[in-house]
Amino acid sequence: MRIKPGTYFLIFLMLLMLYIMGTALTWEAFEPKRILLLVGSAIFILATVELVRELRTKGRTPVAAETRLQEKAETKTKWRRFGLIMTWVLGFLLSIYLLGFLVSIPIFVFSYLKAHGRGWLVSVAFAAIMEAFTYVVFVRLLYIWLYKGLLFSL
Amino acid sequence: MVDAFFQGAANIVRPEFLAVIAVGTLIGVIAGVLPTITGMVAAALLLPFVLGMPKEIAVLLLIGVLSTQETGGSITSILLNVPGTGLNAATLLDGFPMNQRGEGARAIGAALTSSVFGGVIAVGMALLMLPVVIPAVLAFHTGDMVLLILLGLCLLAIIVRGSAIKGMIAGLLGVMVAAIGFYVETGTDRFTWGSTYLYEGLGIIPVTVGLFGVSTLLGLLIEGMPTIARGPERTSIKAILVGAKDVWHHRWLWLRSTIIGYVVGVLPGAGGSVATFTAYAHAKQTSKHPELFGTGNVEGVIAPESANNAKDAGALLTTLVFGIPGSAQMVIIIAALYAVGVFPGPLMVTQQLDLTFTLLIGIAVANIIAVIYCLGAAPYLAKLAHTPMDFLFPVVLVLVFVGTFADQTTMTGVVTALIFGLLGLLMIMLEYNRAAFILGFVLGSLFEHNLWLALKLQGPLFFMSPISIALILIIILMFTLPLLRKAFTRHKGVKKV
Repeated sequence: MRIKPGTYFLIFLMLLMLYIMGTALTWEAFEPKRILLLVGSAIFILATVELVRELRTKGRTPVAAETRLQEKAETKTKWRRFGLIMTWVLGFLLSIYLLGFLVSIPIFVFSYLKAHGRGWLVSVAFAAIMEAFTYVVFVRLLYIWLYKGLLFSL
Repeated sequence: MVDAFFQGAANIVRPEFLAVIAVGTLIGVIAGVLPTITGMVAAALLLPFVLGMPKEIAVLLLIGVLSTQETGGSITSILLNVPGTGLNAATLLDGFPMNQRGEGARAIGAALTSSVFGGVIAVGMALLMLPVVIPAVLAFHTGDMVLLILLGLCLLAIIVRGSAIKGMIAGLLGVMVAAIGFYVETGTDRFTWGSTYLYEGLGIIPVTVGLFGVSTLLGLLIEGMPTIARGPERTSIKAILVGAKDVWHHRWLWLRSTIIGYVVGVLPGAGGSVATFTAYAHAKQTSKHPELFGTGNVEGVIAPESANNAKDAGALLTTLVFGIPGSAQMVIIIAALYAVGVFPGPLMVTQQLDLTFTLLIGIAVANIIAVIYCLGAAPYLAKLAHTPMDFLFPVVLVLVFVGTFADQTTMTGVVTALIFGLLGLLMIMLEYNRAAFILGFVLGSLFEHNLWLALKLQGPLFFMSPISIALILIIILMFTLPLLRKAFTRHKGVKKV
């Protein structure tokens, strides 16, 4: 019996449905809990069926040690890339929260391009284009107020 | 009626009316191309400016914006896997894989061709249906709407690839997520945890953009893909024309999808997503190669694109005749009509028939102009698929963050898009169908609300009307048809032997 990542997800889903249905049962009125109980139990049953299927599935056919090592290395690389990308994404989000959109956008675009080996001219030009586009389209044409950032709102 | 038709048609060819439609269409296409900035946002912003205009010009401008946003949105769906509007979510299922194969221009050609002809033919259907539209729409009760939406939910079983159980789980999860918010009917808070953002429920924009756009972007970067496209560059006009020819090869599918889109558009509150996903599921069910759907089958682009443009004519007809918005976009049209002193209702088919014809024909003209704009830009836009990810990633991320913020002017929308982006990534890794999730999300709240209404108005036997019974039979047929087909093919094989 082999535990795959999907198995944990199914177990999590089942627990989540139990929590949702349990909470819904505490409500007085029936109408708001109707769809939650119906859909929650359907998901619970389907997840149980899929869980049983996954647990009964034999492990994959044995592979050569070399291939397994390669796969492990690829997985490690993917996790590393994921960590890097999320650092950029969360960093951008944090800078928007602190500095606002119009300050963060050129900083993010410039630093991302520079960090990925692009030249100064290209990085600056692209950052300027993105900033101009955002300002012209969203602020001037669409009159959308863009968040100014915590530091500039004090 | 014939006189009114010619009067309406004569109005449209006036230079000032054509110019207004051209301007509105340009705004609509651009709004559709920009992820999350839909035609509805653009039209709502234009509303204060149209107040001083003559009534035909005011409404034609907004019709130009609203009826062509999906045409522009198809481009972003195909090229970036980010639906330009929520109605383009079905297009990216096959449009983006085509783009990854280097056939982005072909997919755009197919999308634009099916859009324009779908929009134009639907206008023709609306014009023909004018004399009978009132009794036809009145025959549809709330209980029938419940069954129609249930039909839409049952499409989950058809549109999923791979594990049907996982597809159903994904779809039902979408229904669950749609339940978050304030349940208006009884005043119950459902999993809002005191958040004012969650009070109104999760918005379709951050959920869709996150689930498709953000997750695909993250997925490509994790895989180390240098560009979106995996195939050679084929971005010429010739490639676009190949896509246009595809529509001719699948003309009967295109026609059926147009009819589906139009019929769903006529029904108030059915929603454009019901039209597009129904058309997509129908295309898959009737295709000779259903196993190719989701991998870049041009039929999966033709069907939803013809449906989403066709629905506008049906929705406008219902809006004008009943004063009830036939779709979410038509809310803006109603607001504009009232603002310029036109009151939609049965008088629109008696005393103001020429205006009705002008507006309907305006949709057809807007669709044609939209395609001209898009055809001019398409070969250049298709090159996006071969743009290095170093450039695409910051551009798309900025558009996603700004767009989702603009949706409700709150950073919570941005965080929501990011959370659903991570969920979408997880769903890709674990092979859960994201389209099924979105379908469940869109239809879930609609289904629940109409069910509540139907039970209150018609009682537990709401499904006993002739239309409801017909819809139940269609649902049964939908599930049994593939089995019957299999059995028939097997029987034929045995006979040959």
